[in-house]
Amino acid sequence: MFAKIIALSSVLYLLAGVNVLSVQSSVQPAAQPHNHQQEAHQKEEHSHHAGFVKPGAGVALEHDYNGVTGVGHIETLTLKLSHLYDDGYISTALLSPPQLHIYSQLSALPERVSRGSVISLPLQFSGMQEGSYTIGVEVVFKTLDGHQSRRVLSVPVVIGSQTAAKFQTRPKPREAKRAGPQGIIALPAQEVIR
Amino acid sequence: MASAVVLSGCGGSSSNAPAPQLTATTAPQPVSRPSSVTLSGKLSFDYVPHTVNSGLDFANVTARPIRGAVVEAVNASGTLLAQTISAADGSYSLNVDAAIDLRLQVKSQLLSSGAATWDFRVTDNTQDNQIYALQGSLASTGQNAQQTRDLHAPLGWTGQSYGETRVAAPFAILDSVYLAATTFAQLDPAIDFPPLELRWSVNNRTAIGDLAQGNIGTSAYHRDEDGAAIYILGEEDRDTDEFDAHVIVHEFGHYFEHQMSRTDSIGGLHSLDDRLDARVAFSEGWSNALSAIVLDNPIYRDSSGARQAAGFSYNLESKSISNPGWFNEASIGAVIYDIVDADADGADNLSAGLKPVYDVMRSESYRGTTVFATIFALADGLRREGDLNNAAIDRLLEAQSISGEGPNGSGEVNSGAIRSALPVYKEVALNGAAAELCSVDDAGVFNKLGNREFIFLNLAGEQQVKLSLVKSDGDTQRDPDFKIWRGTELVHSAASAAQGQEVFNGRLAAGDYVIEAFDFYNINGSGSRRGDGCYTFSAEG
Repeated sequence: MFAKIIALSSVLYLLAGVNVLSVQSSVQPAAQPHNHQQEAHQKEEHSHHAGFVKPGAGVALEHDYNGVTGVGHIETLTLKLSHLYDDGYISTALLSPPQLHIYSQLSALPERVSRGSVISLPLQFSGMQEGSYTIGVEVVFKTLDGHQSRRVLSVPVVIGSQTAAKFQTRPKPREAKRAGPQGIIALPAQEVIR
Repeated sequence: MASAVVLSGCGGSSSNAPAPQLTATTAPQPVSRPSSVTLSGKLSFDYVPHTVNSGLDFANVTARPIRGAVVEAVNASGTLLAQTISAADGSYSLNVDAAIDLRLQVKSQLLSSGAATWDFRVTDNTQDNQIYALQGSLASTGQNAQQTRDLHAPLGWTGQSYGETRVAAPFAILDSVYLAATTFAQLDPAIDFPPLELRWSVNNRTAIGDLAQGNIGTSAYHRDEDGAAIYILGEEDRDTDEFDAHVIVHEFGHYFEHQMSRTDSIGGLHSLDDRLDARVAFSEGWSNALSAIVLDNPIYRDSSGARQAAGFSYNLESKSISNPGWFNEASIGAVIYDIVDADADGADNLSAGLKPVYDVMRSESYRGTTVFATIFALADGLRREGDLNNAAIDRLLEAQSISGEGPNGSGEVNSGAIRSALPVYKEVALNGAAAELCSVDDAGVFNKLGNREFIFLNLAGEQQVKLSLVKSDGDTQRDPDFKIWRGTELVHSAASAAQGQEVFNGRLAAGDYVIEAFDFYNINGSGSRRGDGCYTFSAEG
């Protein structure tokens, strides 16, 4: 699916069932296969992040996940960190909720990247509880000058059906509740009356 | 978590308390009962500072006043009985009827109807943009002339996680906005801010998708749907920004330039080391500088990660900047901060405060100029209108390898290693020689230096014109497009799928235009088919 591998560095440990497999992330050139016809009819400029976003590591996340996974099903996807435009070192960490079983572990060791690099991170996960979750990747980028920046990027994951996930996960138990008649969201105060 | 209600002194009673059993033993004496009660107290929220590593420091939480917020007394059905605005120390005072049950609530809303006016609200985009309200209990106002009710918004942190409702969060966001608004109000006592919502939720996640579902991607100012709004991350263990005051004020800076000044930025991903489109670099550099100015702290901090314990920082006073220049947000942030700050260091011996920068950015000449809002436009305004030492401004710019003059950066020599990036504005005359330009992806795509070129065109009178952008070098897939700008007005977007050329035929009014030319595949975000192409641009009529 992806173009040739030009560098191998950070190691992931993929745990599939009881088998321990060793896989590697790959750094590859930015150019990707494309669909000329489709793009020619989508004359729309866009960024990976809309709006005026906060500063942080200049990196975008792409993936090949279709958005819904059956309960108990082991899903395989590949995360791609792209739009790297500076030379430097990048390290990644997975941030996942306890409801998801992640079978991969990213290496925190920084790997050398160059302008235009794309980092592929293969990943497997499953979940036993219907709901809407995210799998996050915390990216730390350090330039050759030593400047460090971060950005957390996530993939939305649904376990079960979209409808069931929405029903089950929102509002969260700790979420503030609506007050009702005033159309406000009530937040309980610590109050002293005297 | 239920409200903690403590009753002491005289006259108060909880509405849930059992009715007292009274036994009369003597004839009652006439007692003067007040018909109204002065209800007063203090409002506060838990504030979390940063560690030296820029994570949140939950070991050093302090209470801070809720300032400038809407305070209401409401009855059991929510009907408003009295309203005021909290003072700078978090105090408030209301006159209400005696011996009635009411609830005190503090809306996540800053409201000012004095000389300076504003209406800033923290709302929840995942709950129909409803406003938050810190609520006390329904309790009697009692029979005395005075009653005190203090409300505190707790953090909700229970040691390793947010185990309880994150009540303090909306008020922490409000506090950063309060600082920004009052900073501007000191410069311009009659300032009139357009309304703004800051949309925060515990469901605001780092995934990109439906904003109403909380998939906001990252904290950002959005200017184009439902009016303008700032979306703020609240995703525990990934990225929360309610206590990252620099992030909040940074996004407020975008709101300011969009709604009260001028911005031509196209937004998008950016980092401090990027070589950016000049418009993006200026917008981000301004917002970074504003956060440091408002918070009186040049160290920008942004927490993230598990237990919010990680983060990164950057010092606007740092003299070590990668790729300095007019295309670098760190350079521009440093220039603006050094103009304003009181410290003298390096090339900085200016301490002008924010007023000259504010005056230029609010001026009609800056907002209405033909060319885009960049560091050149600001510097030109400061030189002409700022009543500053121009040599001192030049030193700050030169320290960041910025030498262009005038609002269009004429004579700039720093190309950022992208040869086609100079001159900053090409020029073309009607029926004159064509301008030569390129769209390259050396610094990245979408909003990076070299993706887009700017061409200045003047028309002496209204007339039919033919504007042509034709490929002179590059592969067969190059797809040139261009936009025609007149000030901040987008007159036309010529964006056909034709390869190798783009043409506009139409009538244009007399005046100055800027043509923004680019290769579609260098600005479409995906990065596929990106590449270098060079073109000629001509105007006939």
